Amino acid sequence: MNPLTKNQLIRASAGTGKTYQLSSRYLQLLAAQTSPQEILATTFTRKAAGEILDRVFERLAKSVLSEDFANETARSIEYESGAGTDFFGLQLQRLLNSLNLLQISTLDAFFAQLARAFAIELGLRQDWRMIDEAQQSLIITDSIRETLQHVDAREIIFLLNKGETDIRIGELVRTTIDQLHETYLEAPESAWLRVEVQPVDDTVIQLIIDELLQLADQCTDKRITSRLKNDVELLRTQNWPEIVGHTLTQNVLNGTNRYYNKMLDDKILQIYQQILVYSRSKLLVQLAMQNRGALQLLKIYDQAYQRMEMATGGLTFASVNRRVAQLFSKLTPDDVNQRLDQNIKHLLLDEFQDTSLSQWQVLKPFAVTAIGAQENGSLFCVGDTKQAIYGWRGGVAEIFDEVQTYLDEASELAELTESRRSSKVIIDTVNQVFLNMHLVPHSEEASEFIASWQRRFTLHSTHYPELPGFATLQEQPEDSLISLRAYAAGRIAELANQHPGRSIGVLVRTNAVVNELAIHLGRLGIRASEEGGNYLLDSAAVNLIYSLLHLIDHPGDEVARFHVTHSRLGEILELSPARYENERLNKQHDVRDGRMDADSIDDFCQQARTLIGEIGLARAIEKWSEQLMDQCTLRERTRLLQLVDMAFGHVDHNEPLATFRRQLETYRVDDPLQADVRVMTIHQAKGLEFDIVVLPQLDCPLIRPGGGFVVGRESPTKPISSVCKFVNKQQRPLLSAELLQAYTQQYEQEVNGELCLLYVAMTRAIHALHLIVSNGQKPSQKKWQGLILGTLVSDQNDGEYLWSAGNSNWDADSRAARESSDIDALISTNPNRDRQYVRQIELADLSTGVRMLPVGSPSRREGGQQIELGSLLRSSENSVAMKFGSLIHACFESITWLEAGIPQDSLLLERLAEVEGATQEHVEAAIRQFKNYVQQPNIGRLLSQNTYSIEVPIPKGFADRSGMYRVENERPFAIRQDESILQGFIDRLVLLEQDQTVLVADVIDFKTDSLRPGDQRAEQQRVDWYRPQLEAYRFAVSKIFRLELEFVTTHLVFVATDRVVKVH
Amino acid sequence: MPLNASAQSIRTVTIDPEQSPLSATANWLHRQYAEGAIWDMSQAVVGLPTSRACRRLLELIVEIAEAEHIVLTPPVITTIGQIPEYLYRRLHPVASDLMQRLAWTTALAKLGRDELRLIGCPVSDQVNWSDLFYTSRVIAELHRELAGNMYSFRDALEIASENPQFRDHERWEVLHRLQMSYFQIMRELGVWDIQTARRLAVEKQECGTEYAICILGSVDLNRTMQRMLDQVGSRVTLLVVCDSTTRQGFDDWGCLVPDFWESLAIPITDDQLRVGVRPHDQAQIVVDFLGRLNGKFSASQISVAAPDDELIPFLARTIDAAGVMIHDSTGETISAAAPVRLLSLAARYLEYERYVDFANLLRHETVFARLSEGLQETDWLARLERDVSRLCPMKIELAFSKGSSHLERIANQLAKLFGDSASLRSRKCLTEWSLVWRDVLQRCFTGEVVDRENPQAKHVARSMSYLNDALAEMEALPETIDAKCSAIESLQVVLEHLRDRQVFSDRPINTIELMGWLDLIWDDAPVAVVTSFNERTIPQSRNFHPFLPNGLRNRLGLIDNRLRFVLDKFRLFMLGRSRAQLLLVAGRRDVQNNPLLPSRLLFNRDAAANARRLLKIIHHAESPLHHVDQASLPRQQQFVIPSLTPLKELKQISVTDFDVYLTCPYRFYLARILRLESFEDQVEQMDHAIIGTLAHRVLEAFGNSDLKDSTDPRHIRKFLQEELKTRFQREFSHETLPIVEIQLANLEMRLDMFSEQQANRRKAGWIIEENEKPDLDKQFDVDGDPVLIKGRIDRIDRNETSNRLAIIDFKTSIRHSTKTQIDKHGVWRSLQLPLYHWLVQGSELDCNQGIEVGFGRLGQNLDEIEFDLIELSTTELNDALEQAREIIRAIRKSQFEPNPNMPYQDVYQGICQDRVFERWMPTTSGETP
Ligand code: SF4
Repeated sequence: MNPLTKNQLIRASAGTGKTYQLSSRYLQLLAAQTSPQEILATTFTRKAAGEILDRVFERLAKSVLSEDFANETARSIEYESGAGTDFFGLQLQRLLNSLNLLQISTLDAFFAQLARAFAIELGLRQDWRMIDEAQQSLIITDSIRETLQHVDAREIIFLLNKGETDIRIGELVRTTIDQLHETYLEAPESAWLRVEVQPVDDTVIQLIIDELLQLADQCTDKRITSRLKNDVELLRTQNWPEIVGHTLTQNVLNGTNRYYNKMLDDKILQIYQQILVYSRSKLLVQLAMQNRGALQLLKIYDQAYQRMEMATGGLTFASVNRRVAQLFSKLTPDDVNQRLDQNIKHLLLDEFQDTSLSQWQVLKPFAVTAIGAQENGSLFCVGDTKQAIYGWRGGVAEIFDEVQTYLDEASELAELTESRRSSKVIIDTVNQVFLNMHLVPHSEEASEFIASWQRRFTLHSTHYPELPGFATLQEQPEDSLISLRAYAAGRIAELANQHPGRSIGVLVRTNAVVNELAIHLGRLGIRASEEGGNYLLDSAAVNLIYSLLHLIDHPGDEVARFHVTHSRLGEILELSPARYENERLNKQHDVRDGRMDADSIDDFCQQARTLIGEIGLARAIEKWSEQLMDQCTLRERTRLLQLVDMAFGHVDHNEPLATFRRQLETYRVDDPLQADVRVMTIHQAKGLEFDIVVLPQLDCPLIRPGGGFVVGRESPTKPISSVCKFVNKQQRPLLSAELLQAYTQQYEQEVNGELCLLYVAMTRAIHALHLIVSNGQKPSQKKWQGLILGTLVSDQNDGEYLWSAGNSNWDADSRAARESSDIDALISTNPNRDRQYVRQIELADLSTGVRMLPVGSPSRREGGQQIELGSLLRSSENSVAMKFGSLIHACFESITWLEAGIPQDSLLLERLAEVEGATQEHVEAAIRQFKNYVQQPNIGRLLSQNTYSIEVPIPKGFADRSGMYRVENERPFAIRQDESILQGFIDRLVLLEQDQTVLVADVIDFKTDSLRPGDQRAEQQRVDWYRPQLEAYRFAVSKIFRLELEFVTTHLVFVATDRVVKVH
Repeated sequence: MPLNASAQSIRTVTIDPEQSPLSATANWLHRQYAEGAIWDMSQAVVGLPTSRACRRLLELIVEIAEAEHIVLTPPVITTIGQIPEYLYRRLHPVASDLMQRLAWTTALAKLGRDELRLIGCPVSDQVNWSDLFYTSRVIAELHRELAGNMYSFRDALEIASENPQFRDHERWEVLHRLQMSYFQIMRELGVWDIQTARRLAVEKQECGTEYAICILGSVDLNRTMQRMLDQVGSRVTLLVVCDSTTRQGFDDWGCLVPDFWESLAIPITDDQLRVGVRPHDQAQIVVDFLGRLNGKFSASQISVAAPDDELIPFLARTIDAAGVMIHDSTGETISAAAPVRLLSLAARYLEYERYVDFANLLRHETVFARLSEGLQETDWLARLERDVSRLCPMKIELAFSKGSSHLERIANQLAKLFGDSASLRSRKCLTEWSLVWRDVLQRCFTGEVVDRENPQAKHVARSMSYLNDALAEMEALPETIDAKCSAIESLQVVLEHLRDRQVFSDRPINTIELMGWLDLIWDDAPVAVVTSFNERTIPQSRNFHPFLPNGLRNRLGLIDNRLRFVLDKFRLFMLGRSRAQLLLVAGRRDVQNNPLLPSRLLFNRDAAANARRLLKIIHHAESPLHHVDQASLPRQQQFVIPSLTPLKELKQISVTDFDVYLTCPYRFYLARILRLESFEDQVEQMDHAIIGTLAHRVLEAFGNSDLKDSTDPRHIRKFLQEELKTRFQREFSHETLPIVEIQLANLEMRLDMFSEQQANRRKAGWIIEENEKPDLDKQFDVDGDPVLIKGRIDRIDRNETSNRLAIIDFKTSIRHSTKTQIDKHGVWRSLQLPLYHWLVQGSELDCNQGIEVGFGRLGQNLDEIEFDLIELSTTELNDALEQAREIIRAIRKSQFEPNPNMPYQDVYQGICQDRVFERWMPTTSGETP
């Protein structure tokens, strides 16, 4: 069987060499002469994409250079007829020649390409761009603002908010939208309308109340009497949740029909059944309205969001994905290939368990085609449903199972369980927890799902049984006074000190804890960095600049002002603390005066804004930061530099400062200093490994407390069939079977997700795994720690630890072992690692090879050195005049001497066609006007050979003025003037030549300014304005013809007023 | 290879690749045109690949002229793209870019919605003019490229259709119709666009010129150019950079022969290639390389190419830190210049009318300056913020509608600059708008004098001139294509027109120049460094074009990926030959951390050599650490949490102050002693403080009303509702936003629930005795030194039967409960209740029958709206008083250390360094280390 046609689906447990498998497949295809442009390999993170690329390149390159590698590679790709280095050499060349066609990328990047190719069909602007979550949050905020201004908003939010009186509507809406927008986009409208309501007769209520009162009178059991009376009150106030929620009704609902261990008698039972029917209807009406309310809110919001998205042209990956998915449901792979100019036949899909439905929607046609294509295509999927931790982002591990149904018998299904990462101790620990967790004392909600996860778990083994390892479970001592996080930080610090040079990963469930731990560790003197970084605001210096930016925007902000003025920055900027501080200090608790200090702060802020306007925010921040540098510790300094980087990288000049401050709050930045410890969420740890892993946040529930909305599907890979606001356990029996099913699904998803996280977290460890829990925890299926305690801890206490396994001395052992382990012969250690870098540049002095002098033109010198900005707008009163000016110039340039005549209209027309932006009409008007101008006496005299003369003395040595006037129109010139090149054209240059030597020169410049005839002052102003320009011409002419300046005259000609003004 | 009869007469001069092509060109021109002391090139036109090369050639020519003392008339030196204008006669004026754009826009407006959608115009419910204008850009570009190669849209369609798999017929049909209607419009205007003018000249065989044309680097001429050169063949000289082995790599137009270059190997030594992991590492490598030149070259002799813009800031800053200035000659857009920014801010404000946009417009330095002059004060902005923070302005009219005379004055001043809002809200023609904006700019900038020698001012001045040009273009628009549009749309036209406008500032002479890849090739500096030598940057690949995918480009003979590769290979060939020092730097990751591939150009050797290079790239990429001289840096945090001026004496303190102190003594000082205030622009809803005040006022009014003894919840409810409404309108606004309305309705709901509770309370015999009792105060003895404790109690009730007193504090925000006042160690979390109790005890009120204290809860949960009262035991009271005493003592000792465990974030966190890793810790002596 040709290995190529074999579709493969590999379930690869953690650390079992997924990337190796994938790269083997790639090489296999390459070896079968598949063109790289026919192969699409995708994964989820940029890092993973980089790793796959590197692995393919590296294995191929090594196989070119070493026979042994070639053999090994040939084996791993099942290449039968022993391929050698030459064979792989050919493949390598082929691959390198088509680097531009390589499709090994993240799914997001692939979709972005698709979106680019189909921009029109997707209705995208041509200049759309990808935005990240922080940028998106700006759009979300704006859209929410718009939503809240919608006429219907009030009613809807009221509905949604029923029973709550939280005034923070903005937050409520934001939460709802954050949680449901994606759902809204995916779910059909009908899914929101799944609550069936049976109306009830409202008059019944009074009957029920009467009957209850009657019963209460008759009843002898005090407890029941009081219950009945209470319920009368509850019915009157229409408090349905309470009615349904209390023990008696609950017992009626679940059929035990008891109250305080006593069977209820029929009368009571009947009336309560009636009450239940009634309350159910009321509650469901409310629920249905709330669902509808949410739907309407999302509709309004979505419209606003789409508009904003369009307006800004910024799309998130999710949005791109969704659009592409919608479009692709209408296209065939052929359509796609035509547009992409390529033909994707082979699919290699990594981390398949994280594929979302909408991603799958796009991939599926390719996959199905690939599977059905026999020799001409193939599908390769690798993943692990035990590591499906992206459910919250839409990942659906069940697609894995679905794919299996498309495969034929010839396909290969494999499961890899031998770890190439972890020591035996770690693997044993993993086995112990995940094989036994179903035996831990039950929780009714989670146990079913725990058991089914356990059934899917296959015993793991390790490829390196001799690797030393250590695992512990430790409890915070009872007498410890600090928080669990602080305690954990202390333990981590110890580990870091005990194991220098070892990688330590502290993996937690939530971002908040990452930050908390990082701060604790930082304060213990341990360099901790988070994958993806921390906020720059973890630096005091950055905080200071942050406050400065705030102050610049808000000169009246006293908090920011206090911060800045009481700091080194304040000293540097010469900002003293506000006077009011002292006044308030002395006049304690007087009624606040409404007066502000009028002082220098407003001026400072204006100056700062001007500075930012001139040099840009990034440079301004750089400038301020530099002044703080001498105060900075190494870390503070690094953070400041990163702040400047961020400013250079992200700032759009037209965004207000607040946007940049917001970025500071939203973006995390890696701390590039070598970190001893990396703290991160488990999600971020995906694909990473550490010598030592610490799990300090094990108090995570397997099922989160309910809230928000519940989403149901017929099956996980089917579209959403129901969306419903969450109701508590007591009310749940009132719901339909379909909606109940949604709860089960949701719980199953949650439990699965949590178990996957725990699995991923534990399997990141190579040597050591340390689990830390708070004091007095019990085994249970409620939280992670309960499972761990229940599976690892037996009765006897292990001294320092609740439980431990392996060798606490593992580090020394493994160091000894490591010496002997073999290293890659081909790649010696990076010679650049210890390279000494030159950090200063020395240059030869300026006289060496000066080049690229600035080029200036005389016309830019109009108005002189000091220039009023407003005048730049006035310089041509209007554009028609400007166009007109160019046209007139073109006309004048066509004349040498009037005696030779004015050119024909047709010739002029042709000349004037060069002037851009003028219409035929303009041109004709200009020609008419020009003819008038030359009729004027002064201009006529100037242009006439008979009357023209230069009124300057002749240089000594030349007896008379006889000689020839030569006219050069639009005379180009270029000269060097000091440290610049002066370049330009002279409108009309008249030269008096004798014996081929230029004696004197006259520079004539035509101006079309509209001046009033006789307005001397205005004319003089214009002359002053143009003088620097003419001076430059004069200089140029003197230089070109090597004339003394006194032999060069200049004239301005105001054609409209027939004025010829001598300037020099 | 296409051979044309007349093409034979095109003259070719070869230039030795070892030489600088520009010097060679200058020398050639000298040989050709200089006669004695005259070097007259007025009849020559020289075409070069980049405008930077044009500048340099001019400089070289001037150098020769000055060295040789000859009278120079320079030739026309221009980019190759401009050469056609010297090769034919124009019979009609040529339309400006703006005219073309608007002609396309006008043509687009005639299409139906489906047609628009088909060609990529985003059409939602209605067709927006700005969408059409936007789309016209894309179409104009497509037209430019195709027409440059002598194709109409119809031609392109025909050729594309030869491919049986082609599926976009409909789209191209629409494009064709659109183009026809565009031509019609242009005809009516009596103008041409430049591509059409050229094309017609070629088609009618009308090309001709009086100039002598010389072209250097004509490696990728489009079809129009080739045809034109054919027609004027004898007047053309091509300067081709090649040696004897590469001569056959060029066709008759000097264009590259792809087959030849594709197979040619360009050697790159291992020394010439270095790989950096991240962008910063690439920059560091550049510095290391330049540093190792050991001062042999001057700044002018070094050029660095940054083909990827994103690398520029890294390069600039790293080289800067190495003690050398760098000059970015890739050009700057003018969008950041003050006048342009002013218009953008105005556009944004006009579009959304939000307070934040209003405030940002006011903050623009020029607007601020003009307003400060008009208002004759400088602190108006600070005052405005304070005024506004009391309102709830999401839209600015809301704020206007409410009488703040200060705001009104500001608005009036602003109107003096921008004109009245009615005018800004009307629709006008672009020609009219251009006058409006010109006036606005004039009013804002008249009187702003700048110095041209200052580079920043120069930038502003240039941008102002561009703006002036743009407005002038707009003003001159002929009627047929002028459009009636809104103020924002007209600004979009102006701003978009300026979008691609670049300003090139002058390079200070001692700076190293940073430039684009193409510029570097045609540059003649002896030292060249190229960064981002990665696939997709060099060479670029343009795939996924919605109109012209690579396959179609290929069919049409447009520049496609293969040609891009070949062109870059030729460039690399030139680079390798002509430079004394060359370094190529590739990266492994881009700024977003995406993996980067090495350029294909690096692998043109045998497989083993390629394999070795590949391994080196993967494994030997450099990642130098940030270098800092650690010894010179302080080891300990120097940014102190400001020390506070000790309090001279504490004479009085309010009850709520104690709680603030308990949370964080430092914040107590800032918030309660200095009473610092903070502002943000983004006001989205009424905050808790505003709602609390509102609720308190309403309840106070109730306590003073005739209904205070009512036992009928309906009456109470009605009163509270009306009171809430009138108060809100009086104190906040008449016009409310939906969100505020909801907040109000919610508050109303809480008050409804409260009415029930109040009625019940009255039924139970509780009478309101004191209502918002002002300033209850009492001396509190602390170590013989009394302090006055002040408190304002919301309400005091007395029971008509038992005569007991009840002290009630209304709470509208976070949940308060009398049960959680004391923690498990017996420490009071809040001293409010016991201190009220104590205050009342000493007042004139009769409290012999006992006192209850507690909350009137109006919090979030409707179920919990109730009166929650307890009686305090003497021990509890005494404990509380002792705790209060401790606090007073601490305050007197000026103990205001920040609480190290602040659990939440607030405006003070920056000052208190709550999130800072290396938080400043005062040493025991309280002094900075
Ligand atoms: S039988 Fe039921 S109703 Fe009667 S007294 Fe007992 S509990 Fe009450």
